[in-house]
Amino acid sequence: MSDSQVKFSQGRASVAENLLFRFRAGWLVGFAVITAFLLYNAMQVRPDASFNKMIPENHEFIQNFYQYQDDLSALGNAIRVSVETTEGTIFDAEYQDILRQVTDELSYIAGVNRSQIRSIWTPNVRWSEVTEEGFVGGPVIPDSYDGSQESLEQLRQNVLRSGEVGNLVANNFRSALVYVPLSEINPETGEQLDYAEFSQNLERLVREQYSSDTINIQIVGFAKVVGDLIEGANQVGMFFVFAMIITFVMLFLYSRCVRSSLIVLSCSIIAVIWQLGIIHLIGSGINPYSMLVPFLVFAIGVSHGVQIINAVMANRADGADKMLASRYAFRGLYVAGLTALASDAIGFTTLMVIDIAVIKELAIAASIGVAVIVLTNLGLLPILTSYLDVSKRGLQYQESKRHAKHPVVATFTRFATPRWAMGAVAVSLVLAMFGLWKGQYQEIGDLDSGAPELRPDSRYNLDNAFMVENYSASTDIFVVMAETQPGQCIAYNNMALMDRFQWHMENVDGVQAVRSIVYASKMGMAGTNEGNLKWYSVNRDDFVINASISQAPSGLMNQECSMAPIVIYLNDHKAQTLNRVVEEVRAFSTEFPTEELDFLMAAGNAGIEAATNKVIETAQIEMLIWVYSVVIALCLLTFRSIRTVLCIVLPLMFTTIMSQALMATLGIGVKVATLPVIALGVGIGVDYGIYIYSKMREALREGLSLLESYEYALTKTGKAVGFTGLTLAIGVATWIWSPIKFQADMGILLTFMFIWNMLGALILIPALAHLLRVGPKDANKGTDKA
Amino acid sequence: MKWIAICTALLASFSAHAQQAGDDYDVIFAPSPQAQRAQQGVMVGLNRYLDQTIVVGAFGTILTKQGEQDWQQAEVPTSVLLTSAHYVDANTIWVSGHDGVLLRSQDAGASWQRMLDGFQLLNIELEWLQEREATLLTRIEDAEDDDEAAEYEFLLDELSFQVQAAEIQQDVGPTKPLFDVLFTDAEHGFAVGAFGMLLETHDGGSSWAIVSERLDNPTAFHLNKLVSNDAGDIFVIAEAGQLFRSDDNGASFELLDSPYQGSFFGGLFDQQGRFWVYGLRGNVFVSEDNGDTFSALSSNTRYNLNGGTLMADGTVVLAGHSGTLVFFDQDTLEAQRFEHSSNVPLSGVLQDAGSEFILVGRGGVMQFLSPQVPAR
Repeated sequence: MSDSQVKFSQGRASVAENLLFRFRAGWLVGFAVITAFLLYNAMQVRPDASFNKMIPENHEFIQNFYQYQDDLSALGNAIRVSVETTEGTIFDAEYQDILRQVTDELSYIAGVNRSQIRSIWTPNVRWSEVTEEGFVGGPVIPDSYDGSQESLEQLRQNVLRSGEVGNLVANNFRSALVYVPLSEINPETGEQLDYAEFSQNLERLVREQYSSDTINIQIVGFAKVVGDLIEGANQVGMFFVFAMIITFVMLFLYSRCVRSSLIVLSCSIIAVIWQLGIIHLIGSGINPYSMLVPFLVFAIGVSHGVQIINAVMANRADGADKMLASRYAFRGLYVAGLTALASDAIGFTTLMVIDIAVIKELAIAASIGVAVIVLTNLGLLPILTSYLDVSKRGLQYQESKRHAKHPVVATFTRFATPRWAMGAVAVSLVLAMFGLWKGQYQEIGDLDSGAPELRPDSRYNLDNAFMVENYSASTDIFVVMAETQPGQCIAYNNMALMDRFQWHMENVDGVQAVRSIVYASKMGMAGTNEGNLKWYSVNRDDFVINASISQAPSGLMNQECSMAPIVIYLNDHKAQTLNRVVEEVRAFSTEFPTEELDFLMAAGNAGIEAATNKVIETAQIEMLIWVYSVVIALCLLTFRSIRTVLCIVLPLMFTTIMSQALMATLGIGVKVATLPVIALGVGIGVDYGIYIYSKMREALREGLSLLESYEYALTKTGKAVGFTGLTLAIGVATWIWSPIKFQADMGILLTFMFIWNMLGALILIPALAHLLRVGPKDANKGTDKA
Repeated sequence: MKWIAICTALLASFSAHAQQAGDDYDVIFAPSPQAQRAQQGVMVGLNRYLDQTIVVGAFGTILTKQGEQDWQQAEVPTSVLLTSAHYVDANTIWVSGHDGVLLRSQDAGASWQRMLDGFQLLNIELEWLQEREATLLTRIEDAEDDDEAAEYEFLLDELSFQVQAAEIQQDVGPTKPLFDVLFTDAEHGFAVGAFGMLLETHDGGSSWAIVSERLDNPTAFHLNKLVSNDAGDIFVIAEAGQLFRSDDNGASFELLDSPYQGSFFGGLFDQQGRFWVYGLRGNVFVSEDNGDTFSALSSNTRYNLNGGTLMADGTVVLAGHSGTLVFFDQDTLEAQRFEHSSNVPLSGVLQDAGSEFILVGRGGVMQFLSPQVPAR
């Protein structure tokens, strides 16, 4: 087979083809109208970073959390703003002046619960002391404060007596912080807190205004994470432009035809517009995870568009006119295209088994996007080429390349020969074994400290590290809700058991400290008995208990006294740590069963992450089974041969194994962000196999040998497959630079999977086909010479 | 007296049993949890006999250490907060705790028995009150004149009120913590606690009787600490500056003329036989005449001083809140103040070896190296 111009009959026009091309003008108008309408809708899509959507809402832990969400709010939504001096200590008049201004400034930012704000400049922060006459105390800032040396010394004394060192004042006295509780709903306007705006206000009114050579401002808290996430997500828009430019350049280099490059680009952009428009129409938004979908839709659109343009050009070069060339291109590709896109779409739909709203939204968005590509890139694109044709220059380039063997063809054909086939499969087996071994070390959940959504070296995480280093409380918080009958949360028997529980948890590896109403009561007991530690115990007398917690901070029990949160501070939020905590909570409940008291898990960021991990751990297997079942079923339906299915699916499994090994190596955990990527990788990866195999089958049916058939397939689609792999990879590779850690992780993984899948298809499909003895027997023998 | 003890023991064991069956969990009877971070729990009591050091604290935790070896956590049949440890001899150790718990070990701390618990103590207290009530009634009958009878009547009224309170307390359960134990010999010992509780045993702790009436303490101030000197005098150191002394082996106590109205948390005798008491807001007093008169010392701190020890060289070391440690030169009586880096309340200090000290407090068992530079 010297000449790659093997031509097969183009077959008869299908109903779909006739419908499309007979009424192409009508279709064009229709597409234009729909695009305009959906563009209008797409413009209204808003970023949506709802916390609730990122967690498995039906998990037991989350249900428990929802039940008491309002009661836990006092613990929850607050930010901490630290003011650090780089010169001397905080007991300095200038520094104190800035701290006072920051405190005032913060209390005027919309969304702040003004009455609960705390810093050493707020009157609710007091010191107290037992004297011979009883308790004495006062605000930490002396009434007579005037910035003089004496009043600063008085302030120092008061701070030491206030018990706020490690809390509001750093252990090293070089910074102090303002604790700022937020109101989720504005009490005046009833509006939901706008995290993006709030975060911007913090930056503008506090950080920018007060930072100087000697003053650093650190800000941490959930609201800041969300604000940074939204801000980071907006940068992703830039990536999209970047990906478009690169893709256009690549399309041009590939085709040397501006016209067809623009056609492919436009159709793919139209697909994205449709997808976003439909998302808005069904009342959904775009979250930091589903932001990936427009990239995917664009890249998948381009890859299918390239297949069609590739075929149109080949047909034009063969002498067909622009109408016939487009019709033939559609005729030759629509089955493979539909199969590939269907497997994509259904593959994405399998993500619906994961009970986390952002993943479901991502699945829906991606499925819609792929369905849209069927119309825009299989439908609209050939109509456009039938009108616009391809450029002369592109045709000439195509013509000039026609007789030279394309490097893709030359490189990969040999994998259909025995020695190379054996070699490729052997190497893959070794790699797969390694991958399986390495993949065992894959971890569930987030592994980095601080806010795992953001990069470890992000401003936020640096601030967070500063807080962890200089103040006492950890930011990884696991809350157990001690549930009792109404009014019984501080009954002695319950308190005694909670006390024991607390000590049990304080002895678990990874736990730093445990705080609750019991702790407050014991502190109160010692406090009211002249600070004597000999009283540091829960008293059996309910009146004494009541008295002991009279000074306790709010939020340690709910209004009807049926729930007391037990706050467990952890070293980190690694899956192992969380698992251990969950197990120990269960172990305690088993050891001390009681009707009166339930230790319900879990709230706090670590508690929610524990639930998410559990859901993801089980969903990972489930999802893989689903996505592979769907891919296998679709391939079986299309090719009706088990050997074919093996040839297509085994390379995909290889990629899955290798990507798990990659995750283990790079320390990327299986989490909300990376779980869908595994399914996306399989769903999209199967496209290559389907395109290559459908062309091989054409040749095999004509009685050609495996080697000849593969060379034919490579000539017809090999270039396009190689190009597709690269465009897909580039589309998502821009994400590697996202300020959002999980988007970067998604980018790394998808890039890896797209390229690995492409190579797997080009190398392993012929190799496996050879080993599985696909193709005519006699013809196979003759191929050794080639 | 003996039959009372037997009866109360029987009653108590019955009530204890009922308590265990009725509740899932009771700190008095639940064994102390073995904890990998036992040393980091809240530790209150600290003592030493020859080569052995003992530390007691929250959740019934008892740790012992032989010489330079590691701390060992003992199996302890209670989970109450333990407040102090007292050696009778190398093998016999007594520990006081919350909810009226007294523990005894006869094998140098390897195993422990509960010798008294709060449920028993509630019964002992009720019996004691009723017995006093009966005594008063006979006195009223035997009264020689109306004035004497009226005086007894008045006392009886008050006592009846206390009996009622004790009966109510039976429902609430034991709330009174014991703070210290002291034995004068193997058989005879005292325990003190909150609300003026003074207990005595004559049979090595098998039975205990309330003898609070021996103290002139009508306000029932908390009794924080027991100390004895070489002469065998027993001192009770108490809340609100109350100090009591017995020179007849505890048969009677005398209220001393206190130099201070704030609470005392501890006391000790130094190498020169002086009696030290210390407490609230850095107050330290020394008596050269066995407690008859005191003079105030400057401690350089306003933090409470909760515990103290005598160093081998005669230096007195006191430990208090916010990691405060005050070293007093035994000759000049001048104070040098240091701050332990933990900054937590300390309740006890012991010289371990040379310049190393063991501290106990809210940070658990801690170490302190003899300071070179005093804190500001």
